[in-house]
Parts: sequence; C-alpha cells; structure tokens
Amino acid sequence: MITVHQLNYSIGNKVLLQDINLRFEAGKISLIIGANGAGKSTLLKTLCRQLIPVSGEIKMGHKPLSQFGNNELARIRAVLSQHIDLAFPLRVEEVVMMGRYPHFNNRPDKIDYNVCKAALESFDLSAFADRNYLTLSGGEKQLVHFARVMAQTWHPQEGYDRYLLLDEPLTFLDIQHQYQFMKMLLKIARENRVIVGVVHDLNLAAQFADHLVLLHQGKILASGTPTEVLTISNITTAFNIKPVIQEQHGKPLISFSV
Amino acid sequence: MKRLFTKQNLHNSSFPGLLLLLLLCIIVSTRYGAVNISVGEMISALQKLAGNEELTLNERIFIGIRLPRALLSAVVGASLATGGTLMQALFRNPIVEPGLIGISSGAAFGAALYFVAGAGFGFYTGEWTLPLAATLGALLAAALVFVLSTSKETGKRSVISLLLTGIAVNALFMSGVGFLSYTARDPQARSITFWNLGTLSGASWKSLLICTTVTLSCIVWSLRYAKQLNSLMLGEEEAQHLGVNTRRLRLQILILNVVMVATCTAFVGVIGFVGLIIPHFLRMLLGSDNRLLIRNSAVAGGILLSLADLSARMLLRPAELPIGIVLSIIGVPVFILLLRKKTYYF
Repeated sequence: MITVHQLNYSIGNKVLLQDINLRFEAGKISLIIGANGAGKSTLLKTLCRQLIPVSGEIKMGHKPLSQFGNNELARIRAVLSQHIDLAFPLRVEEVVMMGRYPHFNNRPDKIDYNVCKAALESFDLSAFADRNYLTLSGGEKQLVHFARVMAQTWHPQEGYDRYLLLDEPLTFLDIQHQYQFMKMLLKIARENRVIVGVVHDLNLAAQFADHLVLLHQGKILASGTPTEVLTISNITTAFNIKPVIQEQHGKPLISFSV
Repeated sequence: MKRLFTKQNLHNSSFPGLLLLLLLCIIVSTRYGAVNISVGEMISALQKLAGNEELTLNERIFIGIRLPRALLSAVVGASLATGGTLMQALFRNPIVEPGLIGISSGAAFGAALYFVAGAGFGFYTGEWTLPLAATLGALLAAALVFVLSTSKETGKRSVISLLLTGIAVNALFMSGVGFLSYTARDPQARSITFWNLGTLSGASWKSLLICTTVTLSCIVWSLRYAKQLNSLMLGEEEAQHLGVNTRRLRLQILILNVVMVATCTAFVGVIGFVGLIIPHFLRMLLGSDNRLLIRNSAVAGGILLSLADLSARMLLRPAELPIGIVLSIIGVPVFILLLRKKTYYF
C-alpha cells in the first residue's frame, strides 16, 4: 500500500502539487488522469523518489519512502516509463537481466537466470532473447521493458508489498499493444501488487482502473471508481471541454464532439 | 555437434585469449627494434640479473630500455582504453574519448609551458618536472570542467553540460598550447609538437612503476561499477529506478578516469584514438556488457599500443616515428573498415 499524506511540491513560487492525500491499495490498478500540467507526472515522480516533496509524507507500506535504501527500494518497486532508448546495442535478454541488478552483486545467480527466462516467456518474448534490442519495433521494445520491470520485482520480498509505477507507458503503442499491455496489467494486479500509473486515454482508464484519481491544477479534483470520477462536470472542469458520457459494460464511455 | 564459436565461448575465452596475445605482443615488441634481441638473450639477461652478474650490451638494452618500454606501452594502452570504455558508458555516447573532460589538452598545456618557460627561464628541470607539469595541467583542466559544468541553481551537473564544458575547456587549453608553440623558438616548438603526438622513448622502470600502480588500481577499482554503468545505458532515470545513485557514480568514474589517464599522459604525451577505437572494437566483438568490456578493453588497449610502439620503432628504423602518427596511419583505415561492416547499431 502507498499512503500519501498532505503532499506538497513546488518549484520556486510555482505550486505543482497541493495538499495531496491518497491511498493506493494492493491488488488494484490505480490510474492518475488529468490535463497537461495538472501535476500527474510530478505526483508520479514524487512516488518514484525522483522529486523530493517540499512537505508531506509518502509511505510504502509502513515505512516512509525517504527511509528506504536505494537497493532496498529497487528490489520491491519497479518503474516503467514511456520511451526508453539504449545508447548501445544489447541483446533483449541482457536488457531484461538489468531488472535483476538490484538482486545480485557481480554475477547473476541461477535464480536471476530463471526469473529472466520466466519474464521473457510471460510476455511471449522467448524467441527474441538473442535479438538486438535496437532492431525491435516500438511495441516490442516496450514489452521488453515491461518484462524487465517484472523481472525486477518477480518474487515477493519478505515483509514488503511489491510496487509497479507506470509513467504513461502506453503513449507510443498502437491499439493492439495498448490492450495487450492493459490485459497483462490486470493479470499482474491479481498478484496483489500495488499498481499506480499515469495515462492519457480516458476510456482506457475507465475500462481498466479500479481506482481513478483526477488531478486539476495540482489538486485532487476527484478520486474513486471510474463512474464516480468521470462525470460531465469533473471532466469539463479538468479538461475544459464538455464530454458526452454513455455507458458500456457498466463503465463510462466518453466521447467529445467538435 | 557442439558449436565451438558460440557467444558464450567467445565471452569466456576472450579475456585469457587477449591476455595471451598481450604477452606475445610484449615479447615481440622487446625482441625487435634498432637492435634485435633474441629470446635466448632475454632469458640469459633475466638469469644474470637474478644472479647479479655482468650483462652484455644487448642484455643491457633489453633490461634498461626495451623491456620497460614494452611494458609501459601496454600499461598506457590499458589506461587509455579503459578510460575510453568508462567514459563512453558514463556519457552514453560512443564518440566520447577519455581526454574529453580536459585531461589531454590540460596535460599538453602543462607540458608546453614546461618546454617554453622551463627552457626560456632556465628553471631547474629534473626528470620529474615534465610529468609533474603535465599532471598539474590535466588536473587543472579537469577541475575547471567540473566547476564550470555545475549548475548554479541546483548544484547538479548534467551529462550534456559536462560534455560541452569539456569541449570548451579543451579548445581553450589547445589554443594556449598553440600560442605557446607560436611564440616558442624552434627546438621548443618541436618538443611541443612531438609531445602532442606521444612517444614512449622516455620509458624507465620508475615511470613504469608509477603508471602501473595507478592504472592497475584504477582498473580493478572500476570493475565494481560495471553493473551500474550497464544500467546507465537505459538512461539516468531508469538507472535510478534500478537503485543506482547516478550522481555518485558519475563523480567516481570521472575521478578514476582523470587519475588514470592524467598519470599516463604525463609520462608519454598525448596519445589519441586508443580510447575511442578499442571500446568500439570490443563492443562489436563482445556486445555492450561493461562487465566484459572493462577488463577486456584494458588488455586490448595494451595490445594495440605495444604493437603501435613496435611499428613506430620499426617503420623508419633506426629513426622513430611518433606513436600518434602510427596509430592514425594504421588504426584509422582499420577502424573505418570495421565501422562500414553493417553489424553495428547506434
């Protein structure tokens, strides 16, 4: 579980996050939505410990985020970003093995090789293991990184939850890959992980999120189930455009008319 | 049938294989020169040295000149190639050289100052004055790059600002070298030019001892960062997500590189290209895993430089070519040929 308590973040006079109080639970997919500049990425970056909050506290489980050691944190918390480029050619297997780096000292153990293999298998990437990462398509590359961050937190660590933070992971994927990705996420969430992500596509968020957080100008405008959060008035306030909301399989379906 | 040349076999055998080749190169490099020395003479020289007996002329050449020089070329090559590998990994950029953060141009400036001022004003100049001046110049330039690339607001140092500041400081010191050789009288100007092309003719057991101690400890120390440098290939943020303190890593790698490369440059002058070509070559051969690259680049750098020094002594025998020229004449075409094989991606 991640608990965010009275979180504030600002650069100079510019307030980017204000009085954020949230709870992200294990076994659920929590997604953060909002307009550009609403503070989505800033919030995720504070959760990743890339930005240090001006005030307030973030706890992973019962332990404040600031008290984690670098490796301790990396063993239980993985982050998947939107677009990762490699400077040098590497085999796919080596990229996935990087996820195991926090777990071994100099040479990978047997367990690391096994995890690597299993992670590749679970994403149907076994045939790619020996391919040069740089020759893959954008969708394949993102799957490799998904496999890498899964390898990073493959086995639960005694006394900790496992966390997966996603920073707009779908941005460069086509529809097929987007849905493949979200379905994997549903499967993973059932393994009792804490999953928090930033997404742009409201319908994708409505369809897959258990918990939605709508940010507006650095504050929480709404937080709850997709049906609670995705109302006409909330969306109009947050995105400054009026939506048409229908219902499909019990979830809101949002469209906009020009 | 089991395949002999699998990737795994190549990875496992590369290091001992290269080490053997290096040993061979050192022996060949000591064997040939203005005077050829037979293997029998080498062995008898070592035996006599152990027994404290009188040496023949050839044996004295072997012990006093040829052997320290061959060993020094291997050590300097190791230092430059490892520095190149470390810096390319750190900057995530395949065109980076170990001299990038001001080291070689700073050293060249220090040396030029020594040649001009030392001779012009008749300073006391012992055997350590030149390396000392070069080291001080290198450290000064590197420190300048460090300080100037630090952001005033955040106190942080980004890779791109390091890179650009390095280029600027290099240009500054090189124009300083240019000014000094422009104002210098002929013999001094020639000394500056020669020094900038590198030579191992000043090799001695003392300089070998210093370079070996510094280089070996830096290389061994750098091995512990191989894994962290690998994760840096994903980018700085991703490396942080994998538990790497990237700021500390950068500082440690830069310091290791400065110490190692500045020391060697101080004794042999500016030798370019080794730090660029060896990491590339090994990456083509072995892939980008720094755990393999660092140790192998040390040995391969030693091989390249000992061969280059041998050629420098042999091509115009008994005269000697600057090693920088040899490296460029032979190395550049080979390097370009390798790059034109389309097996390598960026």
